[in-house]
Amino acid sequence: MLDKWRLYKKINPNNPNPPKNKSLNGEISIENIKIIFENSDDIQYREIHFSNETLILIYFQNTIDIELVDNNILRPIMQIESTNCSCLPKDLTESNENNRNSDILSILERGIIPHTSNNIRNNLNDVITDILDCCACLISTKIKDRAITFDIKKIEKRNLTEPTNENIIKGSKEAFIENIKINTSLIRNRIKSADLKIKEFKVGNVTPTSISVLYMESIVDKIVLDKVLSRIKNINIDKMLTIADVEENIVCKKYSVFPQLIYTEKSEKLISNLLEGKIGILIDGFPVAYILPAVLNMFFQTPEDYSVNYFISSALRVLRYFCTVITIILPSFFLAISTFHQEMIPTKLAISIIKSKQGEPFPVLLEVMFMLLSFEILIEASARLPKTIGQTISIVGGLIIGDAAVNANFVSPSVVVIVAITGIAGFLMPNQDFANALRVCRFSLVILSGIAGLYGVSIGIILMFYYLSTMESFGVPYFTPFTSNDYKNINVDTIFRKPMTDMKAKTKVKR
Amino acid sequence: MTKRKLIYIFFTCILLGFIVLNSKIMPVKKELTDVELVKVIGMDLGTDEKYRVEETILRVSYQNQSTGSSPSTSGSPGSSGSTKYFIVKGQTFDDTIRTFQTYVNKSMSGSHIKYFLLGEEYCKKDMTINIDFNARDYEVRLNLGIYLTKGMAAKDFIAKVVNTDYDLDEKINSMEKNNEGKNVSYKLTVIDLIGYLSKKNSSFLMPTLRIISPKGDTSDSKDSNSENKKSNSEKENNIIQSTVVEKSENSETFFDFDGYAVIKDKVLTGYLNRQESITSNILKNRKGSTNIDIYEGEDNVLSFGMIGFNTKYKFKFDGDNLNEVIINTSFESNVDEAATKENIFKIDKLKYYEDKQAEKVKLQIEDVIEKMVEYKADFLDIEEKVMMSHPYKYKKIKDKWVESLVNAKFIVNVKCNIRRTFDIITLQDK
Repeated sequence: MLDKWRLYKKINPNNPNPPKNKSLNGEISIENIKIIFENSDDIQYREIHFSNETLILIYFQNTIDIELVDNNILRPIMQIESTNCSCLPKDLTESNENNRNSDILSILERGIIPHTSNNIRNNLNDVITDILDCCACLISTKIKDRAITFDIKKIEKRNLTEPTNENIIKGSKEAFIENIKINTSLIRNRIKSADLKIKEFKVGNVTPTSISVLYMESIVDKIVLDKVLSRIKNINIDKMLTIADVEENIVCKKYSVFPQLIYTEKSEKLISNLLEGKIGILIDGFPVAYILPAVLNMFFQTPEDYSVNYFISSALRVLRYFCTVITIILPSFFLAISTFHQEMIPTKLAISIIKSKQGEPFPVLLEVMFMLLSFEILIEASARLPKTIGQTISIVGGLIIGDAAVNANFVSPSVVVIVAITGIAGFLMPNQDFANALRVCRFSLVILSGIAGLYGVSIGIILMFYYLSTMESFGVPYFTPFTSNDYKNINVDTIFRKPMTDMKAKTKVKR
Repeated sequence: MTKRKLIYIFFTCILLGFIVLNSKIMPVKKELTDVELVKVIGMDLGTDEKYRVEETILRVSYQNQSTGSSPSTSGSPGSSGSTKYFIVKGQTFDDTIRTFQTYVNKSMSGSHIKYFLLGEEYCKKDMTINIDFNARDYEVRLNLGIYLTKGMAAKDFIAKVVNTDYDLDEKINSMEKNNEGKNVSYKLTVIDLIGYLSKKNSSFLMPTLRIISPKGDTSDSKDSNSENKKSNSEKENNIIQSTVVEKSENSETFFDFDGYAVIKDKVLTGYLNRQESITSNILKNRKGSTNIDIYEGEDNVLSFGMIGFNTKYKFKFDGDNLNEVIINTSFESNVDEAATKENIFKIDKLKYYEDKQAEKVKLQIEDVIEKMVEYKADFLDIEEKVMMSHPYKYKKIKDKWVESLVNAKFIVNVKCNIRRTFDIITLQDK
């Protein structure tokens, strides 16, 4: 027996009280459907008179492909009706157990309608879900226990374009788009192996959204896979509107600022990681894929690394690691040595800094905090505004305000230089989530440095390393492979990249 | 919240609380602009009993600010305009620093001091007592250089030099960098000094600086200090004197390295002249080069550049007594210059010139050894070499080392090899 109240609440979560004097009885009837979609002006009920009975095609306008409806549903039905086909039983209205396979809906579903993606639904709940999922539903006025739904949704999609955040010079420029089916097809087209498995889920009670989990069955870590699948299954949310709805529901430490999943716009990167035994997640409506488990080393790698010479690639990775240290430590280190440990500064540099600070009213701590905050404000402002205005903001903020602040003796040029180097070093991070985490660490270290100088910085770094070493991404330690006992793997594709011929896959993928 | 997290938070709070609340381990917070950077400190003995010591503190000056130009203007500080230095008196050096702090509005930082200049009179007293406070200060850098101002007080030396167009510390630094060509004296660092002062009956060489007057004569301390003495006598009752020196355009006071001072038992014992200092560097295998001139007749001079010194010591014992010290020195030389019109250099005379050079260097070495014996000071660190090569025998003569060294027979062997003659041979052959 269908729980009518539960069904109604599910369909109308914002209006839990059903209309008075109207009741749902669980039958797949036009009356029940009309009650459920009451006040929805965009729903269409198209009546088709066929033999002695009336069929009703129900759909939301603008969400289905009208051409497919005309050609694949209406035209075959009307042609049979006009030709008075002998394949039809004499009395189509009989719908008992004996002639269940010969009623009008079964006949239509079995062969008359030339559409592959159709389903027989036996309860009202499924019918409603399909209609909401932009399918067309065909019901009979006389058959109350079944309906046929046709997946003829009109897909508005953009063309495949270059990735916006992961630019590559030598290599594929193919990037994901918002359509999960096309994204999945990009992967299938490249990995021609039966070993590639794709599990599909629906997440979101009100906005059911398709999620696909991709992995290579022969090399994937089964424990990690089970964790991922169970966590996705257990997601219970009403709306699935942002990508974080999935991310924050499946990560191990949801309060951590450090990312535990790595995202990519490039199909090539996802494919590469799948072939290394990683797991990919594609979400309908988002032009990115998640890769997991994500460890620290992965945040320093870019697809470009594998397109250029191994030596150049290794040098760039070393530069990224170096810049990570710079972007975290430099402002706090400068603050510490200029406020607490002046003896560490070379004499000429100390003289230069003192000269530049003559006549300035603020202590270095305030100067550094002020400049770091200004930098963040500029980044945020240029990100929120349209591109053309954003560039203007950068120029105005960086050059004019910066220069004016220095001339007005609000900040010293040395602090401006330090913060500029810090900011630019932070832009070298290929992953924006990781770069954001580093920004948080940078501010924390500056505060600790303002309290206790280099002692504070040291304590902050120790705590940060402690925290990172306790972190796991789906059971895999965050510092993998640096903490591994297997020393041979430490230097395969971490800080340095060996030539491709020297990087042997540990497990071969089945074809 | 898990038990592990609670423990983690608990210990973090304790750690942070310990740091924040315990001011003893917290570093002192002060802005860089509140620090008085000092680049040179001169140390002298006080002229009266009331103030036992005097320190001349040469601070870093920021000329661009005093002249009102933009802070971002480049240029080395002190290169023009005025330089300020302080002469501070006190019972101890600690006392002088505290006095200095009272009279300036910034806190003094010893971390940027590059040089200690020790007055001649100052070095005649026990240095262990006098230099202890400054040398062992935690702020002082271990590579800080120590020089003795030959023939004058350090304050007089500084007073003369700040009147020039160059910075005192920059000038000494430049001289140190270009010293390989002169090979006169090498920097004595504070860590070396502490090492020597910690040893009982130690002797060592301290580099000296000497003022050179505009005409090239070395100045005498009595003459050069007359004006300063006058000004000092007027203010002798002041604990601190601050002096602003306006640099004149015709400032032509120079100074240079002037060999080594011999310090024995922490007290200035005597000096080595320039040539003896060069030879002592050869005997200590210092990396550097020098030149040697060989005269042929009155006007014909061949100048050789000497490089690659290698001196080895051998010791012969008679029982437990040090009998002989054999010094084998070898070096290479290049013909740098032939100041002659005659054909004096021929390829068959190479051996002759090698022997000439060896003979000359041998005499120089013997002069240095003579000084060593005269001062009874092992400034060539022969003791260390004996200790390394004959540890058991050294133990037996350790207590009477200086006597053993002085009574030993020194045998000097010098070998020279002319390595390059450049184009001189070719020209002469033609």
